[in-house]
This record gives sequence, C-alpha cells and structure tokens, in this order.
Amino acid sequence: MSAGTPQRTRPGESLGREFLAVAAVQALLAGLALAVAWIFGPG
Amino acid sequence: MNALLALVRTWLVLDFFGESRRSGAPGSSLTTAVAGQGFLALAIAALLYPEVEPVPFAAVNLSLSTLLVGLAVLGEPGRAARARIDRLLVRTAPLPGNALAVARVVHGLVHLCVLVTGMALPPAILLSFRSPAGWTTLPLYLLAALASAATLALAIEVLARTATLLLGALRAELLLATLKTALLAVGLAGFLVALRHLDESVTSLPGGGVVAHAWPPYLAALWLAAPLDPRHAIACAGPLAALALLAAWLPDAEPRRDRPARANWRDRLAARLAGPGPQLGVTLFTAVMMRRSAGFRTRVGPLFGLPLAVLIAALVEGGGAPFGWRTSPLLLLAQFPTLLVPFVVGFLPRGEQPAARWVFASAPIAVDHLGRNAARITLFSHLLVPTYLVTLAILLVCGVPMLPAAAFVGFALGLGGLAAHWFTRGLAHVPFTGPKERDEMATDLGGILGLGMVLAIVTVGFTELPGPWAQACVALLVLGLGWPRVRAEAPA
Repeated sequence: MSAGTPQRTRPGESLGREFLAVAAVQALLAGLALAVAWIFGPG
Repeated sequence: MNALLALVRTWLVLDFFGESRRSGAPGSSLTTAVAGQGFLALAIAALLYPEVEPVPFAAVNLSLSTLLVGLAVLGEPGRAARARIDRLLVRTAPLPGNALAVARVVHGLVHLCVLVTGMALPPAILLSFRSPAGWTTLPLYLLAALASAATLALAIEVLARTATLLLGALRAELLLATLKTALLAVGLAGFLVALRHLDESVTSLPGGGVVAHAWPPYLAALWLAAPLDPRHAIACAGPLAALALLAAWLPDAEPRRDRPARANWRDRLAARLAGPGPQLGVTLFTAVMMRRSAGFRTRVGPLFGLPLAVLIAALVEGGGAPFGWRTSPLLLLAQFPTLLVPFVVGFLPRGEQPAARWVFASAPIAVDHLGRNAARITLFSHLLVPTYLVTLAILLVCGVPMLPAAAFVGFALGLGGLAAHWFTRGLAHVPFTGPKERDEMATDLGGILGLGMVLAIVTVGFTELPGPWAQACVALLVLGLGWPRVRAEAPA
C-alpha cells in the first residue's frame, strides 16, 4: 500500500488473515472428519 | 475491474469486521461463527455415520447447513442500513454497466463459500467413504451444499426486496426478524421429526413427504445419489435459476415512507398499567421500541423458537395430544415465557438509536425509575400476556379443559409478573437508550438458574393440587401477588 492510498481497513483487520483462519478451521474439520471415517468406517 | 474488486473487498470487510467494529471486540465475528457451525456439522455427521443410508445422511446434513445459512442471512444486523448506504454511495458512483451486479454475485458467492464450506466438508468426507461413487462425491456434495444454501438465501433476498417494496424498509426488517424465529422453530422441529424417520422412506414423514420434495436440501440429496439423472439436476437448478432471475429483476428501490405505529390493545393495557403523567410517555416509548426495534426482535425472537420447535415436533409426532394433563411436561414447556424474562431484560438496555438517551437525559424530572417501571409494564403487556394467550389456545387445542387451562395461565401470568418485577430492579436507565458498545447481556446466571428451579418446582406442585378449583384458587392468589407488582410504582 503506497503512502497516499486511503486505508480501507483498521489496524488489526486483515482480510487475508481471516481467510487463512477460515481455511485453517476447514482443514482441521476435514482432518477430524477423516479421523472419524477411519475409526468408525464401514470397512 | 478495480472498482469491482474494491466493492467486493469492502463488503467482505463489513461481513467479517462489521459486528466487531460495532461491539468494539477484537477479531472477526464471522470466523468464530464459521468455526462453531463447522464443529456442530461435524458432530451431527459423526453421530449419523456410518449407519444411516447416503440419501437421508446427505439430506439431514445439507438441511443443517442450509438452515444455518438461512438463519445467518435473516439475522444479518443492519441489513437495511447497509442497503441504504449502498444506494447512496455505490449507485451514485461512476461504475461501468454491469459492475454492480457482477460485484454482488461475486461477493454473494464468496460469502456463501466462507459460510458453507466449513459445514459441508465433514459430511462430504464421511459421505465419500459411504457412497458407491467414492471420492467424486466430495466436490459434488460441496456443490450441492452451496446450491441449496444459495436457493434459501436467494428466496430470503427475494422476500426481503418484495417486503421492502410493499411495506417499507422498517417493516420489512421486522418481518425478516419474525421470520427468523419461524425458520428456527420450523427448521428445528423438522430436524427433530426427520431424525426419527431416518431409517424409513420419505413417505413415512408427516404429510407423506410432500414438504420434503419442496425442500432444496432433500432435492440436492436425491441429485447426489444419481448425479447424471437430469430430473434431479433440473429439480435442484431450476428453482435456483428462477430465484436468481427474480432477485435480479426485482428493483432495489427506495423504500416507501414508513407509516407511524398505531396503538393496539397491548399498548392500551400498558397505558392503563402506567397511569397518567411522565410514566405514560416512557412506557409507550418502551412499548413502541419493543415492537419496532428490529435488533431487539432478532435477538429475542429466537429465544422463543426453541420451545416452539419442541411443541411443533411433539404435536406433529403425537397427533395432537402429545402430553397428559397431569404429567406436566406441557406445563413446564408453557412456563418458558417466564423463564425467558431475564434474558429479555438483558436485551432491553441496548437500542439502535442510543442518542434517544438525550431526550430523557434532558427531561426536568428523574426518569430512571420510570424506565424500570416501563420495562416491567411492557414486559407484562407486550410479552407475557400475548404469549400466555397463545399458550392458552395451545393448551385448549391439546385437549386440556377450560378451567384448568385458564387457572394455569393465570398462575403463570402471576409468576411472570413477579419475575418481571425481580429482574428489572437492576435496570439503570430507560430501555433502548443504553450506550451502543454495551453489547453483552446484562443477566446474572445465578438468577436465571434459580428462576428455572423455582418455576419447575412450583409448576409440578401446581399440577399436584387436588382438582381444578384448588388450582384456580392458587392461581388467583399468585395473580393477586404478581399484578400489583407490575403496576407503576413511585420511586423508593
């Protein structure tokens, strides 16, 4: 962001970081679902 | 292209950080919600895995994600305010032809993906292990979850725009807040009923499965079972395309001028309880705000959704007479409005226009005790009396005779009056004029637990009384205790 660009977000607000957090939550959920499928799976 | 990206980015920033900016809390509220809903979806999917067949498994899990998205869309805070800002800032901006429409679609898709993917991933993975098609099911399930959530979200958008055109922005917002309660109650009841029929055919559902065939998640589950069958694909994509066209066609017009609220019987009851003078003004202000504050309705409505859902599920499954009169579960359920009093009191201080405080702060008399009186009176006239009238009707429909039903309602109203008196004593100022940052509920957990226990004990004791006449006498006594405490009282 250059010096003259108006700031669209406040300090501490980063869309990229939030998307990363959401992706991390999704990866955790996927991992847990795989574990459930592996432990309780039909075969 | 830059304008489009800037728009999408700004709207996403508002989605993620709008609520935390309002409440002053650090971090994004959306990410927390996504995590919570994802774990709920994982828990439900893990409970059903691997016994349930693929079609009901997909239908239940798709229903869950679709319902949660529907509730999120209906509960979006400041929806009308955002539409107004967009109308002022975006529609007057020099944007190329279709940029606004494209930006809306892109933002809608990204927002929906963020909401849905977390909830759809666990059931999608579990279904891939269970389904004969194997891992191709995973992307198809994600697509089905997106499509059915988009169908419900678009249906709500179409309804919101139509209501705005016909009724004005404020009434449309109130309608959506009421609809949130209805969707929660009906959705939860449907969920409970469907869980009991998972091992049977869809025709075993109450109503012969007619509702299921109009419910997008069930159609999407059918499509998942046979992705190449054009009938199922059309049944899923047809309503989605029709709703998308309708949403694009409906004008996002300036709302009509809102009409002033007319006084109704509840306002007249509140006025009678308040008596003349300044108390009447503060009471009617609280009464009008209680009815017309969309934020208050969005927060309070869902509290009533849960008992309503249990009641609907019991009525649907039990064929109209689910509970015995003497066995008292129905009566415990009917005590819910009183049990919710402390929660509602917790939502009362905060208003959408905190500047209204100025009106009362500049009054020549002290108004804080008037505010406490007003909260108590309007809780009684606008919350307890209407809900207990509905309860009376439900009790009569369930086959409870008139005298015991009326005695119970009188008894519960008296208790409600006492609870309203007890829990409003800590209110510091006139309702709906609190500072905006005060987001947390001002309730004491110990008081709520105590109230729950007292209500349970006295309700069971009430049902054990010998005969309806004894119950009527006790009801009159409790009503006699509760009623004077509701009326306006002078400052101590």
